[in-house]
Amino acid sequence: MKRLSKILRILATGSLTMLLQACYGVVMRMDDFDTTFLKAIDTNGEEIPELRISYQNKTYTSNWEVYGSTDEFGEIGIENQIYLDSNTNLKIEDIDGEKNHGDFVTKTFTHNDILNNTVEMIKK
Amino acid sequence: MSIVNLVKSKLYNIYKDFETTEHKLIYVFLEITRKCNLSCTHCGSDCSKDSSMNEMTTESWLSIIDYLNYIYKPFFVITGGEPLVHEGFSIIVNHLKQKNARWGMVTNGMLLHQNKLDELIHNNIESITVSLDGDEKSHLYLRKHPQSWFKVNKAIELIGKSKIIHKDVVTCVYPSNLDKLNETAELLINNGITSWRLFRIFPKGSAKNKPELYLDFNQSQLLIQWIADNRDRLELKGLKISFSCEGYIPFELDIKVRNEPFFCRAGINIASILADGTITGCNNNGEDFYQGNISKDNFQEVWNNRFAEFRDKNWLKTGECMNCSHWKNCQGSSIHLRDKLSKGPHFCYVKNNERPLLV
Repeated sequence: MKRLSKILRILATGSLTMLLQACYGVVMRMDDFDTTFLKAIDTNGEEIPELRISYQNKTYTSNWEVYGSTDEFGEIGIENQIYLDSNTNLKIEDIDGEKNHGDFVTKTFTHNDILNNTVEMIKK
Repeated sequence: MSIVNLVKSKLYNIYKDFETTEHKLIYVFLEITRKCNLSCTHCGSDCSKDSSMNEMTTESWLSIIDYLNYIYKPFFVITGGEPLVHEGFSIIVNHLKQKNARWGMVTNGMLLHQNKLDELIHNNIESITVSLDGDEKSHLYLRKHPQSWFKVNKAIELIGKSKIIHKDVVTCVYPSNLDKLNETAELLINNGITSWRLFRIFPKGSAKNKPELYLDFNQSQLLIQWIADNRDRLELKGLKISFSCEGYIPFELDIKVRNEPFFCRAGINIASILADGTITGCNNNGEDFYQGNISKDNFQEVWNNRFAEFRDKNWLKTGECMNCSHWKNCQGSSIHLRDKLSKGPHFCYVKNNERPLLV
């Protein structure tokens, strides 16, 4: 829905960037709150659905917050505010065993550790 | 309306539905004080030097920032009153920097000297908005302080030369300064200001029952038309002008005067914590729309489960809005133009005894 929403906004306004200007507030670039789509594949390049993504902000806590799961195309949209923050660790784990193309090893990373926002998962 | 714009407006309505369903919090007003060093004729918050409000402490604001930044990572807008009169202002903005939070502030410019601006920049301010109400005479009439014109001009000069990304001025347009827009635009361009938003004064706070401050329907049309006519010309000179987010305007004209077509995001993407901890949509929404208090309510619970009247606008389909052909796009206009008992917005930019808006 996030991707569709972004496309609708661009089609309707004709602009890639958008400024939010609330009454008597300040001007803010809203597209900074857009999402980056993270993709999970196996070593054969097959997309992996139903992997759970969690994140941890090192500034505040050692707890992991569950963000969501990859869709049927192995993708999940993560807000740039979280994804691009240098203090954010991400964790991607297989919680349903063999159901989604295999049982994969949990991976922990930051956005700087991967290329093209794609995570390659290795089978156990 | 052209077919292209008709399609665009339909797509935009679907987009608004998506945004409303998701209601992701991205913009939070922190009204750190209701106190102000001015006592303006038209103040929507009824601010003054002394506030009778039981205000939150600086420590509370730091905790609120931690909490909201951890859960939502929103853009914070420091506002008031006048935020620079708050004794904990420096601590709060430094805390925002320490937490790697994005933030901006709204000020009247009275206390904005070079050292203070350097402090804001040091703490990674991203956006600043200053109030300038037209020419000297018009500004002084509204601001009621003999130094206010000189000081706001000094503030604008400093901001224009600074490295702040968004350098924004807002002007409350009323009958006395409606014909001074060109000279105000030149002043802003000469000072390096890049964004200018024009507002109509609405009848709340100190501005209530002061009809001399309100543009009537025809004057409002003139203002909107002036923006449409001058937008491209001024943008070539480096100044982006727009009509305030207040109030629905038909799509075809709207896209000529605003960066984004009308969409009241209060309670959908925008929340406010008022000086006493009250939780609401935009900080100028009336008491009817207060949703809780952060000192006793769980904000996340409030944001997730309340705010119903901000997200389902069907209750606004009453009175003059009941059979209005603009309802699908307008949805009852801005929340801050409403109260729960009103039969329509306090001001409608579309209809004045059924006279159409100029396009």
